[in-house]
Amino acid sequence: MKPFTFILYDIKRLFGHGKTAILAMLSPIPVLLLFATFLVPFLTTDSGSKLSIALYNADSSEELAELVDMIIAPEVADGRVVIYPVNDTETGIKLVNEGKVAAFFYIPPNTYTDPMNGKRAAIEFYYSQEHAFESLLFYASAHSTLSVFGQGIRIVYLAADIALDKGVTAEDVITLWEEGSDELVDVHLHRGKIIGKSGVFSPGNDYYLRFLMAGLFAVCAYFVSFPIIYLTSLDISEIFGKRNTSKSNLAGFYFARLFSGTLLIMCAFLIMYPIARAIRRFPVSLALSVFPAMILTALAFSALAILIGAVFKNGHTSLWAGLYFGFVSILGVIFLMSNSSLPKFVSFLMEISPLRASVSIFSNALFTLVPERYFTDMFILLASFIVFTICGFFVYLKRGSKV
Amino acid sequence: MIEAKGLVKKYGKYVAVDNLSFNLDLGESVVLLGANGSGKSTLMGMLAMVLKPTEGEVLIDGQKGKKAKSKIAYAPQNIVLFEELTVTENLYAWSSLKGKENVDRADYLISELDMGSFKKKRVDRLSGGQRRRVNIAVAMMGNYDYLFLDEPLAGIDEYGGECIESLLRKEKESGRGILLTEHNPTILLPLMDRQLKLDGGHFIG
Repeated sequence: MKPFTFILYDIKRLFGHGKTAILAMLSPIPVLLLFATFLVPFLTTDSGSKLSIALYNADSSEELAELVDMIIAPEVADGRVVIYPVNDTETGIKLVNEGKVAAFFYIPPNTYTDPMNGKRAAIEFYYSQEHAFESLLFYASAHSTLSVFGQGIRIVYLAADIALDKGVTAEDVITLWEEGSDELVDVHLHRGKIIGKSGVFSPGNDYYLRFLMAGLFAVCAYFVSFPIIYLTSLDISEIFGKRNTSKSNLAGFYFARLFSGTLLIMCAFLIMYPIARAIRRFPVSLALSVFPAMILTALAFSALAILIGAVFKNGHTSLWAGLYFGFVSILGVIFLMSNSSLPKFVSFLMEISPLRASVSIFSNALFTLVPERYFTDMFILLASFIVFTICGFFVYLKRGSKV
Repeated sequence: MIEAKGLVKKYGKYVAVDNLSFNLDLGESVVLLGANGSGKSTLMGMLAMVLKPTEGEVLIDGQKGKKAKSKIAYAPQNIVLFEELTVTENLYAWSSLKGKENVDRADYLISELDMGSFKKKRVDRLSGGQRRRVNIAVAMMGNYDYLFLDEPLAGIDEYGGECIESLLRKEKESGRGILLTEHNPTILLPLMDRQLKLDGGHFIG
């Protein structure tokens, strides 16, 4: 059979199997909506676990010190973050390397004045792999706050400059400056209104929301792969063995299923993306980094689903196996990710888990982009895809041709 | 010629087929008769090489393995089809898996088994008898010397039975060996050269 016909028939089978594929693709929508309606307000007030951060502020300006305090104070007060001030970058990096803090923030000199002069402020950030999620989310939040303020302050500064040129008195300009700055702070602190939360919304308050949204992306994609698991197991147990299917034909079936499975998961992602964006308006400009993450996640999950379906020849058993595997992975990713007291082997498994890499890559790529972490996660997903494909291919051939 | 010697199939302690030997020549037709659980389908599965015998061996024209297997067209008792595809798509898919997509052969079988009225329907929307006919047609797509049909008339109406009978007559005339299983005497029996009765995994007549 021509490869294209193989793929076309398999897509037809997968998408037409008792409408389960369509249901699987659409099921993330109510999940995301329920998440937005009920969980978001709860998450944004939840204190969560503590994140230890070393901070070296080399900028001597009072305004920046106030701004940094404004970012950190609510985090510290809510028990999410513990700050360890240090006096040089070497100490900060050393603390990260020794595992004494999760991350190190370095604010270079002139960070406050650079944006006013049209320069880009370059904050440096170091984090440990074990705390990559929370550190990056905190960084994303702090970075976005500093960027917003940097731009806002520059506009206020320019406005004050123009006012001075137009002959406004120095007294009025100071008033304009102070009121402008206060308004900026007020608007930013109450930005929680966007998601229906009234009152002060502290700068880092939504990073658990970001993490969980990324988690939902990865988990929903994993559950969308269930029709792939079921149909694969059904093919192997009910069709191939009873129809004397040759190994070369099985290879064709395998790659057709890999492709159609990837397509199914990608469809779910493409449905989820605009909905997630409506809930939390992450930048569209980052779509270029989100889509490769989606494709690689879809490939890895599709290969994993075929492997599970091939190992467990009974359709229902394979579904239960997929459910248990997913359940353990989700527990591992969500609840154990920051637990440094785990045995090293378990921590390592968590670090290379494709589900974790998927959550990590979405939490990174949807909201901000730290290239270093992005490429690490891409590498883990690619390696998972290769391993699952090789293992799945041989198990599929062996089981499918078994007499 | 198909030669089977000392075939035994055990499922745990249960012996489904007990030391059976069997021959089938090209152009010959044989029916295996027996009640449910007598061992007919197990014996046919081993002869079709989709079931591994616990003991004994099957040779087809003196050969074993992949090449021997390709000489048999086998329609199992359970319907084995791509449920989400149409009748025509199933025929094309299975024919191309066995060689190249054979449109003429598909058209011939659709006509012989009177499947024209439902050829564009998805298999999971067909009746039991219609599915049975598709199951047989799928087995017959491709090149083969021996045709094995496990209970081909199960769930088939009188007209469907006549279609199958006419098709088998042509298969026999073309020199192919035919092996069927049935639990009751049917309209196909007059076509058969030999009848073998099974009970408890043994031939009883």
